[in-house]
Amino acid sequence: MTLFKQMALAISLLIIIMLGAVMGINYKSAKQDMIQSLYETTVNNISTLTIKLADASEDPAILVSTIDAEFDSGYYKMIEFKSNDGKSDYLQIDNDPVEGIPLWFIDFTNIKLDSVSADVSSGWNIVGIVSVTGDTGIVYKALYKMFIKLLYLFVISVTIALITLSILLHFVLKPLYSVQNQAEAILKNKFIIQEKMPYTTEFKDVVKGMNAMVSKVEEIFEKGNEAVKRNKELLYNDPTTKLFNRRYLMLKLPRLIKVENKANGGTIIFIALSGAEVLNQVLGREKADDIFLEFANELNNVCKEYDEKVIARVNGTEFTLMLPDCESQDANNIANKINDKFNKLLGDNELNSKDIFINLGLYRYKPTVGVGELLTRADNALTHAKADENNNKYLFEEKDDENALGKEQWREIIEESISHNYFSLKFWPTLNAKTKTIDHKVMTFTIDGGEDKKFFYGDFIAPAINLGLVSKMYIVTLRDLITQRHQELDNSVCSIRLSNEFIEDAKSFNELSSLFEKYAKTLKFKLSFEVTDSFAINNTAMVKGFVDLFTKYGFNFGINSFTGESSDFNYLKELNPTFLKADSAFLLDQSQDSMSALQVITDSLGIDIIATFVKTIDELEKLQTMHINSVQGPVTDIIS
Amino acid sequence: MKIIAYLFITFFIFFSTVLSAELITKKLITKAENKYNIFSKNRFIAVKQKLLNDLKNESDIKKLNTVNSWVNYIKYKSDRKVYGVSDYWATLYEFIGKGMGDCEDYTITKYYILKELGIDPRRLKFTYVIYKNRRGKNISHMVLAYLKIARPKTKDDILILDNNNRLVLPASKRPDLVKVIKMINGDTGAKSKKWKKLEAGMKRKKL
Repeated sequence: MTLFKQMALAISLLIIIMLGAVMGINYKSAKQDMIQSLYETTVNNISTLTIKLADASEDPAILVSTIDAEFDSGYYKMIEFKSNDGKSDYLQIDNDPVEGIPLWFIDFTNIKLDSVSADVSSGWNIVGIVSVTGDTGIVYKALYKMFIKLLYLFVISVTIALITLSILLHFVLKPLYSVQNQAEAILKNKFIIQEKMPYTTEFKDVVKGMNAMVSKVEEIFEKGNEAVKRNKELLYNDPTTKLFNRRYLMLKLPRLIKVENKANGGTIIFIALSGAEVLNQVLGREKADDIFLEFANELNNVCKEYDEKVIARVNGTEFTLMLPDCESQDANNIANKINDKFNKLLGDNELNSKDIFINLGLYRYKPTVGVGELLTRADNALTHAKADENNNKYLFEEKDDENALGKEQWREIIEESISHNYFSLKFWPTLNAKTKTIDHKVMTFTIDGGEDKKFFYGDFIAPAINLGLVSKMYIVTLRDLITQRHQELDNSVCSIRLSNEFIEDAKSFNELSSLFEKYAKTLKFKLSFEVTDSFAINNTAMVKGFVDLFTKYGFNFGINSFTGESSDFNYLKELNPTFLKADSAFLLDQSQDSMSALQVITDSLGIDIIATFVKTIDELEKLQTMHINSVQGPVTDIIS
Repeated sequence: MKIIAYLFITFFIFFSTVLSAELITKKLITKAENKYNIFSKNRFIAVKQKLLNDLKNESDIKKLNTVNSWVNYIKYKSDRKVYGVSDYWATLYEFIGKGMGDCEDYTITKYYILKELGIDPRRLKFTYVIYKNRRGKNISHMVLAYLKIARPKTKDDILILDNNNRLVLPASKRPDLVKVIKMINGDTGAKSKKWKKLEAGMKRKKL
């Protein structure tokens, strides 16, 4: 319960008790006064009545008439005359219920009025006793009226008091709300500095303390960010051109070959520069470096439309462009542009293209190719280019497998799988090697539609991207995951790697929202979603929309395929992921300094690092020395 | 358009108020027939036409006489037998509707009819008296006394409307009323508990 509610409740109760007590006392004393007054009036009346009855006592008819006249013209409950001889007893009584007063009030008030008795004397004789009871109906009516008025007054007073109290508390506790907001932001690893200081001394101190704490953490993050950037440059960048180096290329190649895309592979371009020594001699070292830098910029420009790529300077005179999702035709165009730009560069610097020139070897690969094969074939293509006197460019294209399915066949298979839900969900564990417990399970799916229709995710994802069916496919599998019972997921966390195409599809967000709205409460497990690092870097705003949706339903969010390729980690601050998944090869390749700097960032943002594709115990042990305990990959089978 | 609607509503409210302020309405007559019988309905029609309508422009004496003799035509029956209690003040509607009642009920009905006919209610007094019957027994009784002048000087100035006598006679001519216990005003004086109950019953036309 919030402080406001507690205070409001306590003070409201106090007000209600105080007002109730005042009104209760008021009511009680009024009741006593009224009963007393009625008793006194009855005493007065009986005195007059005894005188009248003294004259009437001789004749019963006169007695009756006198009592009737008195009873009818006043407010009495009862008048009774008891004669001494018992011959002329008479009773007038009104047993009618009190009109206009609810029964519960009569029971509640419970007025007991004693009757007043007096002797009736005629001359020296006492002829009888008269007893009179006043009409309590008057008291009931008066008290009921007063009760209703008091009730109205009570309700109005309490309402006014509570409204005033609410305004007052809101005013007094206003600074506390901003303190609360700041505290919540800290819990979510967001850095909010409160500029406006509250006027209440205690709150002011709290805000000052929190501001100082947030500033320190932010400073740690910024320092970490800088350090990672610096280390990354030292480790993975060519100092002259700022392009990536061979080390980085080799690190990234295995994953880039397998990147899910519609081209089912991509193109790698080797560029070899001849005449570098002439360049140095003619222009001097410094000027030559400028040309290299300019050439690097041109390389970046010609393939800037590709999000997932690596442009590297592998040695002094060789450059490599790894372009997943790039068809041979597009690669050819890029190669031509590079050629043109290079020649222009030579022209601008009055250099001779006979002395200084480039050769380009292009290899259109499929995701099944290994890193070694990829490099050899690209190198072969470059050799071809160098050997050809007429053309400095050579494209080596791997032909499609003749047994491979055609586009329409894939369409049929995927559409059928979507409409009949042939997707079979599989879950792979992420283990905490220290506690040997499952941190979460990663979902993937295959097509299982009978004998001839069994396909792995890697088989159908490229055609699905090509056919624009990824989003539909994901929705069917997510619906299956959320609506069907999967016992192995009970009380655990299930993480889903969202394909880039799924996030880019405008319909996906609404589909997910309505799925969550309907089923989130009934889920027996927690959901977690992952997107690739490069996608998160290039589409931070779009991903943020999804992250907000996940947060709304208490689901986790993480980044996978993290390679630290961004030069600024502020997107992590923005997206605030729960975990980062990075290839173990990448993590193990980091220097101690780089790793420490990365961990400063992740620690300051409360992010866990998870190593993927961990194969051996040896790798695991090395990772554990870097304080990375959560792992995925073949090693999980060994541990468990 | 709005103004016409307002006027119509105002007129309707005014008209229905006037109608319900009438001592005997058509609605009441129908209700009486449903609750009691056709004779009950006829009694109300007779009061409405023969008394309230026909006597409107007659002299006070004529009004007193006709009302007295018409109301006396209704059968006497004690409260114990009609209402099961020792003493009950019936409304005009209960009395005429049932077609029976005791001395107080005659007095009340006469009072309200005469008042409706324009007789000054301050001249009409509910009078508790001792009535000596033919066998010489004293009986507690109530009659309606009409004061011919505001401050009567002699018994001749007071006319008695009594259910035991079909004639309206001056008090001086009523030796059978041996003693006057008390004279009280109708709804013009201080209102006792009984009067308040009666008034409430009259207002809602309690049948």
